[in-house]
Amino acid sequence: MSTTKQSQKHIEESDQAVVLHPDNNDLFLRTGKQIIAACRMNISIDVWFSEFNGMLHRVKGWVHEHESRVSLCYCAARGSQITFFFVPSSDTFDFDLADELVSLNSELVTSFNVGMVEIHQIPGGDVDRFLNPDESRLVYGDDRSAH
Amino acid sequence: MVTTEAHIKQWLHNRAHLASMASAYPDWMVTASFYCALHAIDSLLSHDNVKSIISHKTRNDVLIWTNRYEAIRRAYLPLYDLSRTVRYLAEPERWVPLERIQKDVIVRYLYPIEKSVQHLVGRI
Repeated sequence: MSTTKQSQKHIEESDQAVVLHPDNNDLFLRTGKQIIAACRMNISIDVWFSEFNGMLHRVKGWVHEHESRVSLCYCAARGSQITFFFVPSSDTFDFDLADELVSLNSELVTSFNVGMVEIHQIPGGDVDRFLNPDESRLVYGDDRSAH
Repeated sequence: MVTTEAHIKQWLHNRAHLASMASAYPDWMVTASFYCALHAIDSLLSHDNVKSIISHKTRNDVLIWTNRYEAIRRAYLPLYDLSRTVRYLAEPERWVPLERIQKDVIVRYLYPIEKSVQHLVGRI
């Protein structure tokens, strides 16, 4: 079974619970409109979405460059802010990964016109304390083991 | 606008609290370190006449967009992230073990922030 954002989903017959993650474009569409209004950005929602998708593409690429250190990555909309949550491969806060996430955060904020962007590193066992997976987009990883 | 001196006073106040904390509270040592850093940074922003700091978001934005604060940004954003997370965990010592507090939270994050603030404010 796959729960990631792929064009095809293979669901095996088993007792295992199925968790689907829709692309949530409606959620991010609403968020984009809020951000445009809150930040008084003079761009259309279409342009905002193009910037947002460009940012997602960049984050996916970044995670693949650091996949030995990252287990999961989510993108969540919170009011007028976009937040990325990274679950490290380690059970503890990864200080070296944190240093690299600062560079990524700065790059995202200054490269993509999407409003405020934050990055957080969270423990894999506590994902539910920090985000609602139903209202987030899984950017990287297989989150069946996380909740 | 709160003065530079007022922020420095609170920075030192928080610093004294951090120094007095027992090793049984590594999670609160992270939080104390964060508020030392926050008041150190706000003393600098006050010194630089930055008046738009009304939230964590606006502070972070100023740090991200201003080259003058690059060294501070590199240490502060991870400390901000860590302090935001650790206070909500039921077992925070598993996320940040005690042995990482001095080595990484204080030496890696807090000290460089304080050193950079002192340099930029012209106190060293």
